[in-house]
Amino acid sequence: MLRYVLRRLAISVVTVVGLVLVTFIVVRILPGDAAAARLGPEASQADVDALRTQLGLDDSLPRQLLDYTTGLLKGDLGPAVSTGRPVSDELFDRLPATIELAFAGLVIALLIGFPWGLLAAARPGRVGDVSGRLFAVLGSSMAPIWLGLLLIFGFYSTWHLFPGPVGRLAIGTPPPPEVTGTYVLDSLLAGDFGLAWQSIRYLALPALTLGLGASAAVFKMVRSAVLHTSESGFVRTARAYGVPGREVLLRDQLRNAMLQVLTAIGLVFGFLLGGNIIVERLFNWPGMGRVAYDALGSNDLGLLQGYALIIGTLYILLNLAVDLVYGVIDPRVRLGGSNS
Amino acid sequence: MSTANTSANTSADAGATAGSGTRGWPAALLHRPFLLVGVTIVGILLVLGLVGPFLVDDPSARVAEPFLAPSGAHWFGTDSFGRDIFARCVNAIWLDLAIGVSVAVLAMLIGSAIGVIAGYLGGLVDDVIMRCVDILMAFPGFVLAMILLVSIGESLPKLAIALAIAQVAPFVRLVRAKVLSERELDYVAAARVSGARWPRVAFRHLLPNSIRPAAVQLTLVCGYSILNVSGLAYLGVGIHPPTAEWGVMVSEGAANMLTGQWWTAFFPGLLIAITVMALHFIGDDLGGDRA
Repeated sequence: MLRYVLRRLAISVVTVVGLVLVTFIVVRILPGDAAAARLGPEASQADVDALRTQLGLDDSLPRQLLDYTTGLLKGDLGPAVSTGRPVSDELFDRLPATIELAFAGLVIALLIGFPWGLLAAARPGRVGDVSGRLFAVLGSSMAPIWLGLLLIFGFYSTWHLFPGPVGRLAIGTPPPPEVTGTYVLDSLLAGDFGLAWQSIRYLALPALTLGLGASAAVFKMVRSAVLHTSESGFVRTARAYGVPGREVLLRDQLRNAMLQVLTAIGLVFGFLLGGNIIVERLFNWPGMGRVAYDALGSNDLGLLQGYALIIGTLYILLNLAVDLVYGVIDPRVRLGGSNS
Repeated sequence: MSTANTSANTSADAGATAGSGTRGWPAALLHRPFLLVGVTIVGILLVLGLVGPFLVDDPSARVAEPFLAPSGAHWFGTDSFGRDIFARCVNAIWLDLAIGVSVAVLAMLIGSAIGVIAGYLGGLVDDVIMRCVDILMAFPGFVLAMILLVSIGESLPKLAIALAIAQVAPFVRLVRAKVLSERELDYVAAARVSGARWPRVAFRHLLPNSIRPAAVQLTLVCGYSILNVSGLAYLGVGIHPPTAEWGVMVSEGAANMLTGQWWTAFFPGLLIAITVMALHFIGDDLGGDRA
């Protein structure tokens, strides 16, 4: 087990180092000038030069990389030129909002995709299977922004069931005292159930937008993972012994398919964390994606670089966590060791 | 990673199943309703995209009052400038399909070349390439394309390149997985014995036999790219107004959704959904995921 953990850790560290290099290369080495991009086409050459010096862009590349990585080790992602605050503050302040939204999206995706995928795999080719596959294709064919707009039009503009796209709470409502930074949890911790309900109502539509698309992915992966196990010997044997189909499905097949299902959950959560920049803009959700959107508008490459780095690192950590849980729940992985 | 291996394997298996059932074209199509629907929709779009622009109004002309609801005169209504939305949608078909196809083909060319090299040479080369692929996959494709595009500057070819780089990783994995099993076969040994050097063995012999799983991925990536273009347009990157492009039109119409003029964003978004769905049907069927 120790060897397995160390191996996974080493791979993750290498990937994170690569991530740092890639974001660095993309922002500093590719043709394009961060200072000129920031100041726009009308800036004078003198202004651009001054900003270049201030940002350290005149130093040699190895020197810049060294400065950047030593800063990173201290948790310093550099200054955000457009706001004057450190990049790390800009992004980490917004992390709870992003995590709350992504988590809610994941819950919705699992609630829809998991049981449906199981049903489809239990009776392939039947109504539940065919409808699920149509739903999956439909869910992955809609542009997130379009789906969000449809939900807003239906549930807000037409039926007034949910609040409009103005953020995490009604305008002017004070947020709950900060403990975790997620409004639903914090208001529950403060004992304010009214506020918790309001946060959930504001969370509903953006989470649904994310979750519907992601549920298609969950459905597909659960279905194929469980279907795959129905060809294996242990399922045939269990059936031959007369074990009822439902029991085989839930006890044997699901358990053996858990690895793939877990991977699916990890992938989907990572996708939700990084992919919600559009949904955050559409619903005015003040998360990291919203910061990245503002950075796009003001051409703040340093802030974008920080965003990409944090999203990438979260994604790698998530995959690492999934791989480690594999090792815990499946002895084949733990003992096999060398399945690259 | 174990994840990638499983997904690559299933796709490779799937490619084999699809290949076994090659009967006459029309008859086979009738037994494959999803493929039939997908091909029909794409066919209609292609024809409409070719002929349509000559039959409808100028996409940038103000032909009527702003915000007319859909009617016999303006099938999809008019937008905030009084432009005909149907005319704009029809004119956008060609652009959207062209971007989707060029991104997919570009990603496949780059990805399969790298995949063949990694799989055939193995060893250190393979390790380095696969670690790079891991890094690429650590970004959500959309975020990677966005950052690339911002730093290399915007233009149509650069948009295609940025989106293609973001989609290269799955092609590398699929082709490499196939090459790993393919390189043990006799014809590879025969080629090597006959004195061919490694680039020739890899690209002339292995690549054509290992590209099938990647070809299946092609239609799916084409669809993702159309979706990504629309997402980028909403963030103000890539294609900008007043270009007639579905994603741009959805973004322009986003604000109207709250004020009741739903048709400005609804129809272009519907066309995106239908197109991507058709591509999915084709891809899923070729991948052996048949009803």
